[in-house]
Amino acid sequence: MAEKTARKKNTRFSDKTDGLLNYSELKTPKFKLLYWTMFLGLFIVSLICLLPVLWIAVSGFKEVDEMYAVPPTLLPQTWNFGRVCAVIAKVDLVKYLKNSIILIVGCWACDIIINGLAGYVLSRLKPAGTAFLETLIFWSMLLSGMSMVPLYMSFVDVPLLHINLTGSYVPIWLMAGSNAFNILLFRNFFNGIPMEYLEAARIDGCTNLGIFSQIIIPLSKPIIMVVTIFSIIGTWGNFFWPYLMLGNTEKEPISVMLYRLSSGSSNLMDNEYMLLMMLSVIPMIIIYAIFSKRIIGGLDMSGLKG
Amino acid sequence: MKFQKVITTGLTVVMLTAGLAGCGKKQGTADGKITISIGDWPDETQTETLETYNNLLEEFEKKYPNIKITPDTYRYDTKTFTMKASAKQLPTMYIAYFTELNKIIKAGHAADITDIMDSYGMTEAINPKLLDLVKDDGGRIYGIPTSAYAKGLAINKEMFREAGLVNEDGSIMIPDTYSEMAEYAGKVKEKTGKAGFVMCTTDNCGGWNFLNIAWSFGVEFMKQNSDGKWEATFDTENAVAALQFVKDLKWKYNALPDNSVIDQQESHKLFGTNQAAMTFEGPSDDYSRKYGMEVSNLLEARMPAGEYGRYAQMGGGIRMFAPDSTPEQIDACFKWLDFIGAGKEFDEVSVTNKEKNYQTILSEGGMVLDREAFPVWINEERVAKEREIAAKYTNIDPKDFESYYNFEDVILKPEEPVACQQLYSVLDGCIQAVITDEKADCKEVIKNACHDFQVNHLDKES
Amino acid sequence: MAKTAQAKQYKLKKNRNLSSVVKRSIPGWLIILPSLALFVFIVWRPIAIGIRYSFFSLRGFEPVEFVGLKNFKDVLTDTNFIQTLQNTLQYVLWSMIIGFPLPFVCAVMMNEMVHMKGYFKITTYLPVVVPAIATSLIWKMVYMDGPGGLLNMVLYYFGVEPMQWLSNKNIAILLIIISTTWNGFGGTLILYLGALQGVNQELYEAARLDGAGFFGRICHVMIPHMRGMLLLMAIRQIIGIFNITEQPLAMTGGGPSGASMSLGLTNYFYAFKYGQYEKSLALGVIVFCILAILTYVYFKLDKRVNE
Repeated sequence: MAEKTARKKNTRFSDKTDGLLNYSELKTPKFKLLYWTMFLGLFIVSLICLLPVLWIAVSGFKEVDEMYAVPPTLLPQTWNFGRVCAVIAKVDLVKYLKNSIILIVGCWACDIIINGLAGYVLSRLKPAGTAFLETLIFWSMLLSGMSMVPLYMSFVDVPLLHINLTGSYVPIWLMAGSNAFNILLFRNFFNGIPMEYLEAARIDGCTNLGIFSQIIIPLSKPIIMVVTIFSIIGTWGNFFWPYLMLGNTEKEPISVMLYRLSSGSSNLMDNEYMLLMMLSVIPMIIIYAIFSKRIIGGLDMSGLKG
Repeated sequence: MKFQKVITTGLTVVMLTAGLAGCGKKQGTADGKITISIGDWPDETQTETLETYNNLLEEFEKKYPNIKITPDTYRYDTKTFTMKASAKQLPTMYIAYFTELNKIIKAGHAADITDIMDSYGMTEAINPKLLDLVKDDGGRIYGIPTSAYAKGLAINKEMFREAGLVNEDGSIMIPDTYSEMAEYAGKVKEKTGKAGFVMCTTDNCGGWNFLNIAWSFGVEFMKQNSDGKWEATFDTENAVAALQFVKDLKWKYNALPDNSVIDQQESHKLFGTNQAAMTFEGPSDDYSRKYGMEVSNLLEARMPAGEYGRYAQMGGGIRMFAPDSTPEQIDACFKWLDFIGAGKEFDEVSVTNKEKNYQTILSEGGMVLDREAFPVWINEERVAKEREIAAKYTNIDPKDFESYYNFEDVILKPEEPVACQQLYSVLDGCIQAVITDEKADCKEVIKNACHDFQVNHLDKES
Repeated sequence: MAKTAQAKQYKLKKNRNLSSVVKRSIPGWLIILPSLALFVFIVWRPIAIGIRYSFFSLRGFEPVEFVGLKNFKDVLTDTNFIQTLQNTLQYVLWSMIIGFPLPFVCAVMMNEMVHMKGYFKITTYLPVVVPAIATSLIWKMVYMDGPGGLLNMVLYYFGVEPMQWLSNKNIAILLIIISTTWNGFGGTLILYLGALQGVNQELYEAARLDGAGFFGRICHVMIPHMRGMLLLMAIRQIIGIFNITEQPLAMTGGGPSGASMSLGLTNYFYAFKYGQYEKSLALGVIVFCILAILTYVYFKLDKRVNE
């Protein structure tokens, strides 16, 4: 892997780690063409994703009738930045942000720890009954919609314990802990880790704890990052259950506030509401920018390259 | 094995503590106080209304020290209502809409307040026309109307002027019949390039609006046979003609918006941002509050007439009570209603609070009418007093509402008796069929709709 | 080393009596216990209640009377059921044609990029973060009929007359799938990207030495590695699209005249619009049965892949 020696910032072919195409191939015109065709394709896709979002992001600055005008205007005719202040003055964003963070941290912990461990058990420890459990967990993905009312009722009056969980973050956290898709993701990922590593470590005298902390966790960084992104961004936008559980309390996260203000007779003009929504997206873009870099990071550390 | 044990115990402990920490609020009576929660509380963006309400609350609790009110910002919302109701999480008093009434009563999500109303003498004090609307088949009462309106024809004055639809004296030309309406709408499109009329097409709102047209064309939607079964009766020439009218709006007069997927919000949006000149709607300040339309730009007319008369559907809000509320709680709610000027008793305090209410509406860009179309409480003295206050704060020109308030030949109709939402949904489909396809055959569409409605819904009504 | 492992396996097999199985399983059971408890409480118990109630007539959500299969009969004999089922399958079909390959292709290409990789990653994910209300405004503008719609403006540029979009029965579902794909493909893309980075790089080199070309490497190295993930995402997408509710609700309301009505949306109408929970539950069970068949197929495939 001679290419890897050049460690400058990633804008030269010579920095390319091995992949479908490698450095030496990219020197030939045929593959250069292929590379730049792919680049062009991605570029078009990225524009299709980016431009509408930019357009909608600035549309909150327009007056309401301009916002819905047909044909639409590209940029606002006048930029009224005062509107941002007006919106912030009406809504205590800091409070909601704090609540969102509490909600997210709890959900994230459940997503990673509970689902991760379950995935590990199903993939590696395989106790008796694994196949049966996998089937059940998988099937629960199929029936998501029909259990809403009974679930809500059991949060209001928890079976056995008979406590009312409405008005607390706990139900949302617990729901994150029963995410079948995440479990399957973890399971599939752990399945991909070659057994030899674990065997080798065991023979070297590693305990179960040692294996988990020194081999599994470092190897799992990419999947943990991916689940983290899903968890944070999913929780940030999730409004339905948080609304049922936390609506009308001091614990409302941002998503619930947005939902409440959209359906009520709130005193926000439509363009103000649009601005509020776009403001709420900014932290997620930042978070994503930070974490998505980590997924690249996962490549370098993966022991899979041997 | 230690490692697994540590994790398991750790997780169990975390979950248990988290679970216990979550134990929280219980509603009902605490330390001898009557606790009620009141829905539709203003949210934080309605700064001034919220302040007014919070002050009211403080004064109220001073006046009635044994009542404790928990404000609840919950507002009726199709998606969450059934869930909240099923788990008994509704506020003690909430506001629902006329269109949802049957569904709510049938599911048992509202308390029967007949006896309590009787004992307070409220049954006689309420406008009988409105009272009929909140009763079930057995004549039991399930709510108190907050306000009621008849559907009208909302007109955007600016666009009418632009299209030259003004009389010689400068007043706006008001379409009196459906054919006039279609003609005017076509003219608006021709002159301004914008839609002359916007009508809902989805989310059951299309069927809801279509009912008014259909009635005026002489359609009867259903009847109950002697064996108690319901029969769909709208596979008639009249229904075909009514649908043909809608079709003509689109294809003959070219008067509808380009977009054909329109729910109520979309229709408000189009009307409020000067992209459609007319719509079916009672007096509403959604346009000014959300879409920045001037209140003075709205002219409200009565519904157009058809060959079989001039029909308007009643709409409005109803205060309903959670099914498990105690009589004491309902009594406390009644006291609160009196206090804010919405209940039966109307005293000095109610007057001041009503005035405060109007002031905040104005300061938030809303609309204050000079009178209620249908006063809820019919005590004449009170109606006069209320009108006096309203006239003091109104920000509309009474002339713009003159036509609307003229109910002389308007036949007011409530909802259809059974499977109303299902009917709307079927009619939505009819409207969509004819406005998206120029070649659609109205006769065929109506025939199928009538059959579908019978088989899928009426036959399955138990 | 391999020998010892083998010996161990052999030993395990030999001692496979009940007590040793239990003993071996205890740590696994203990670790998965919290997860299982949550599944019982949050998923399985509510589902069991839901299935039970689908045989009752309900008042609100209180069972009134056992009615056997009446609710199922009511749902299945609805004159629109077959049409709705067909629509739903059409949704699934289109999403497998458009929505399924797109993120994979993009991920493969992105994985090869040295230029602007970060930019591509962020821009493709943007639509996932934007709230649904805002994206519906975008798509309304794009799909609007008449000369003001964005697609029609593009057509006009090429001298084509304005077309009908969402009001066209034949393409409404396709258009909804396109917008759904735009909205969500970034999430799947990230998963694929993560998985692609787990491909053993030496295998590429080996394949190259064997004379495999670009597509040869995709077929013989990349696809085999990705198969598990691709299958999981495929089944997840099928399940997700089978229950599609919000998107048709926001974009067409199921119209025109039921042409884009999905089973999920029908379910939504039963439960929330008409207040007929029993029918909604019965429909839920029916959908489950259909999906269960698909799941069975998935497990068969998954097993083969894992072996």
